[in-house]
Amino acid sequence: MQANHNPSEEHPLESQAEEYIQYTFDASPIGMILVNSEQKIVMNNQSFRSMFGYADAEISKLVINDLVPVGIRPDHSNYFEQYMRQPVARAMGEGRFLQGVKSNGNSFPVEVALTPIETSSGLHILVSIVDISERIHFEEVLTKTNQALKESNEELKQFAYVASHDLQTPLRSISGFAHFLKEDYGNLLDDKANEYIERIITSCERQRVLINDLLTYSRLENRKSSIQKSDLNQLFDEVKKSISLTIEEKKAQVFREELPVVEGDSSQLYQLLQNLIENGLKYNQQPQPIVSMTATREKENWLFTITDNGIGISLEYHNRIFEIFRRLHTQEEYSGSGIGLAICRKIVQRHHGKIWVESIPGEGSKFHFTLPFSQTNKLLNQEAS
Amino acid sequence: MKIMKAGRPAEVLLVEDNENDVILTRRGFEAARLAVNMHHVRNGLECLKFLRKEGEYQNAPTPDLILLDLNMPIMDGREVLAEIVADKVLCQFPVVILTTSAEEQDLLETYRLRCSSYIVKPVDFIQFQRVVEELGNYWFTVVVLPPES
Repeated sequence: MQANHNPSEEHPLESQAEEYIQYTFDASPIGMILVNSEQKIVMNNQSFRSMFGYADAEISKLVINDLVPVGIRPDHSNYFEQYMRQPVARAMGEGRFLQGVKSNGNSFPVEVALTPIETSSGLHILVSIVDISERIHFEEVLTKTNQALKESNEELKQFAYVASHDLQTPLRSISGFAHFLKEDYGNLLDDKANEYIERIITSCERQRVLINDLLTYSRLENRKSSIQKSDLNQLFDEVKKSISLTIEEKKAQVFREELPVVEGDSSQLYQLLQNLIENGLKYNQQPQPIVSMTATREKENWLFTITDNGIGISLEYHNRIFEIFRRLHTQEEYSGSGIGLAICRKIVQRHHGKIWVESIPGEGSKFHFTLPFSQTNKLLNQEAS
Repeated sequence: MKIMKAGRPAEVLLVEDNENDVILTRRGFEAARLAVNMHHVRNGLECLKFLRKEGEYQNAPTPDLILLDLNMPIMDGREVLAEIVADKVLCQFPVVILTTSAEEQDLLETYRLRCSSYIVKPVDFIQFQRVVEELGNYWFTVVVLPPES
C-alpha cells in the first residue's frame, strides 16, 4: 500500500476505512489522482503510477501541469482556475484530443473525467484518467482498412464497367469481319472453312451476351436506383409479352396470380422477373413447360414464388447458383452467362429482401424471394456507397 | 441507289480512331445502298483541321454530317464537340455521337453540348450494320440539312 496521505491514527475505525479506500483506489484499472487547489497531487493510485511512469515518492513533487504537454500548460492552468471557481463533475476537454505526458516525456492519448470533492482541507478534484492509445490505434487501423476497402470496391466497380466496355469493341470487329468473310468469300471456301466462320460468329454472340450480363451486373452497383410504386402484375405481363416467341416455341404456359404493387426500382424488378421466368422455361424439357408466380402477404414482407416444372437443381447447388459465373451445365446443354441469378440476388438484396430456391432434381424448382412492404427511409444503393 | 435529299452523294466525316470500326461503318453505308462519300479522320484535332480545311485538308469537302466517336487519343470527342459548338461557323454541322459508351455521363454531357443524336454502337455486327443503314436513311433521305455555305 502506497499512499502519500497519512491515515489518521487517532480513530482506528477511520483509519481502517481509509485503508479500504486506498485499496479500492489502487485496484481501479483507471488512473486516479486527487488534486488540491495548489495543483498538487495529494493522492494517487497504482494505475496512475504505471500509466505515467512515476514512483510514489516523485509524485508529491509534481504539479498537474507536469502531466500535460508543454504547449498547452499555460491554458491548462487557466482551465484549472476556472474549474476551481465552478466545480462540476464532467469530462475534461470535451471534444478535444487530450494527451498525457509520462515521466520520460512521451505523450499518449487520454480520456479524463473530473469530479470535485469538498473535504475538510478544502476543495479537491478527483481526476480519472484512461489511456486510450489502444483504442485510438484500433480506430486508425479500422479507418484505414475501411478506406482501403472502399477504394478497392470502387476500383472493382470501375474495372468491371470499363472492362465490359472495352471488351466490346474488338468483339464487334471479330464478328463483323467474320460476317464479311461469310458474305464475300463463303462460296469460295469449303464446308469446313464455312463451319469455322459460323463458330466464330456464334462464339462472338455468346461473348456479347456474357459482356452484356456483366455490364448489367456492374450497373446495379454503379447506378442509383429509383424507388417507385411498381405494379408486379404489369411487370409480369410485360415480361411475358417480351418472351412471347419463346413461350410459343416451347408451347409453354406462363401465368400469375394477382400480384401486389410494391415499392422498388421498376426496371430492376422487371429484370428480376424476366431472369426467373426465362430460367423456368430454359431449364425445362417438359412437353409443356409451366411457369407461374404467386404472392403471399407475410408478417413483415411479401413472399413471392416462381414455380416451374423444369429439370430442378440438386440440393448442393441451392446456394451456389446465386454466385456469379456459377453454371451447372455446359454451353451445349444450356447456354448462359452464369450471371443471371447473381443479378437476381443483387436486385433482391438491394431491395432489402432475400432470395432462395427450393428444388428437387426432376421435379421442378420454386424460386422464392421477399420484398418489404415499403422501401421508405431505406436507400437502395446503401451497399454501393 | 436511293435518292438523296441533297440530289448528290452525301459527304460524311467519320471521326474514329479504330480502323476496324471505320471499315465496318463504310460497309454499313454500302449495304444501305446510300450514295455516301465517307471521309475519315482519326481524332478531334484532325477533325477540326478537316472542317476548317487546313493543311492537308485544303481540298476537303464540307461534310453534311459528322459521325463522332467519343474516346480517341490526342483530342477526344467531347473536346472536339465543345469546340465545334463554340465555333460560329462549325456549329451548323450536325454531329452524331457514335460510340461504344452507354454511360449516362457521356450521354448527358454530349446532349448538353447539343449533339444531334447519340448512338450506342451495337456490339452485334448485324445490328451495327442496321444502325448505320438507318442512320444514313434518316439523315440523307428524310432530314433536310443546312445548305452549303
